[in-house]
Amino acid sequence: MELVVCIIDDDAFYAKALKHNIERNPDYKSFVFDSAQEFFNQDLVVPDAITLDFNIPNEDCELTLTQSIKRWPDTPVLVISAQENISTAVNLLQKGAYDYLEKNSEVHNRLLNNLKNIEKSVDLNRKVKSLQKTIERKFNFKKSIKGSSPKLQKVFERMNKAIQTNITVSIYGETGTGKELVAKAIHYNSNRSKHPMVSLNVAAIPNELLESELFGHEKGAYTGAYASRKGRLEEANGGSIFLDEIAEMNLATQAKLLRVLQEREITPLGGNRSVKLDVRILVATHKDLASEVEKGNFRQDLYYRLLGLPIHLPPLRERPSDILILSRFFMDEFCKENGLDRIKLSEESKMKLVSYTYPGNVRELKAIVELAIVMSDGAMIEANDISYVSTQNAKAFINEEKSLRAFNMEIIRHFLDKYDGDVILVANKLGIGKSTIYRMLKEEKMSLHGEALQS
Amino acid sequence: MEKRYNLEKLESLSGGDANFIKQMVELFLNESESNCVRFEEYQKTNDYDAMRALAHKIKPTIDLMGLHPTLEEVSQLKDAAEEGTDLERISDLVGRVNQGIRGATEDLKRDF
Repeated sequence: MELVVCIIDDDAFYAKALKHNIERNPDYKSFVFDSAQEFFNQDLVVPDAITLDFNIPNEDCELTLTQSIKRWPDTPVLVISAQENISTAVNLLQKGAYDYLEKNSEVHNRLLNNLKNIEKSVDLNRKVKSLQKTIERKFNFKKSIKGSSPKLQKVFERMNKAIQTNITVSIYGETGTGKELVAKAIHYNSNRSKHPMVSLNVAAIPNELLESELFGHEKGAYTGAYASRKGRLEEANGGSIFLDEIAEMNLATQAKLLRVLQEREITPLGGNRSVKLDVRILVATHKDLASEVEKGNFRQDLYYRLLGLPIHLPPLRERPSDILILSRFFMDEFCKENGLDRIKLSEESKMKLVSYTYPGNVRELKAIVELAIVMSDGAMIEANDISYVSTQNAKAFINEEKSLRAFNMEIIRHFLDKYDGDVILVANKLGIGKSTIYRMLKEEKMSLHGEALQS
Repeated sequence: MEKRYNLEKLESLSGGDANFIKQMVELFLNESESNCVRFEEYQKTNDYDAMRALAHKIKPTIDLMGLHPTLEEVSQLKDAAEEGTDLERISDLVGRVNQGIRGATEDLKRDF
């Protein structure tokens, strides 16, 4: 990792010695400036560390240190002085100097040790910044939530409203519609983005552990509580918490959560200390919470407190125009992650993708597309590379509420596609006469291979 | 005759880079005489602040070039100039510091 060190020293001899010492590490580059003024007047070099001579003529070391920290708050400044002076050193360290080194025989080793430590923290800072950028890019919702359908545009409008305030957000949608993605996008685009985003799937935590998970506990609060532990709400303090599958929360925990939301503070189980809470709440469920209230499964008072700004995520079958946009996105992502060339979709495969109902929604589409890439020849996805394996297919098929005739036709079409238009085989499989198939095709003005016939 | 300089520290810092040592010696030689002249001028003009600052500045160089007796004298000169009262001692120390620097310069010119 390259580390850029700026040396501010008017003594050409000593500056050269420092430069040589620093650059003995091939990853370190150094630049010498005769004066602080020369250093501050340039903008070509952005330092990772600065060495500052204490006795630069006509310049005040303390002032230079302060100016430097103001301009580059994350850049450590090492003050190097020809004389040891404890009170000066303490004063400069209090003003923010990283270290105070005396120009003696130890200085070169101490400087290198300091730079080693600085290198580690610079490396860590760069990684953190890079991850922050990745997260910001990932949850930039125009980029991460793909689609251009009017229904999705309405979701974006709601999300835009949500990021401008701290209002509680309730997200509704079938499984696989991207509820958590929406919650994270709201958090990372809000003014809480630099604070924690904590996600908790209520359905995944056993009831008896849920309270401890949410509110934390003190040591000895219950059998097995060997150490104190912060709850997820406290972990999210200053940021946001996303409670997925909120409808699965038991009534006792609901009552406690309601109290926490009302009082805006929590008391860990078995403890006396209370912790002030400033947490943005985002909840999601695939169930209809209002009907859960009617059934007595969900507290009405908590329902109203959590309702906030509701966002309904449409199932993929209600926004078919997004299917190919999403497919392209998942294909590109998968190819990039696996070092594959960009792959295309044949016209038939496009037709196949858009004609399916996706009971598992976007999550299912992603899985189907990724499998299709693996099954393809690597250049083009053909229709037969796409296979639908969802266990919910039959249910979704029936949920479409078509006429019996339409269902029959769809079944016949499916089998004809599967057996390459072999009417006899299809008739045997379905236990019907081949004349029934021909008659239905004729009535629907369809060929054996699914093309529309001229009347 | 014993050399009036010692490049042990510089060699240790160089990591075996002879070119670096040569460049550092050249830098020292370029500045040494002008520093001696400045000490003498400051003495003539009684500018003890400037004398103290120069003594302070050249200390690390004197140390790195291994002018061992001179290093102690430069420290004493810095302290004496800071007080600015014992002019006889200051004069004596300027003479000794300059003698040490000029002697080392002579040896270095001969050896490099």
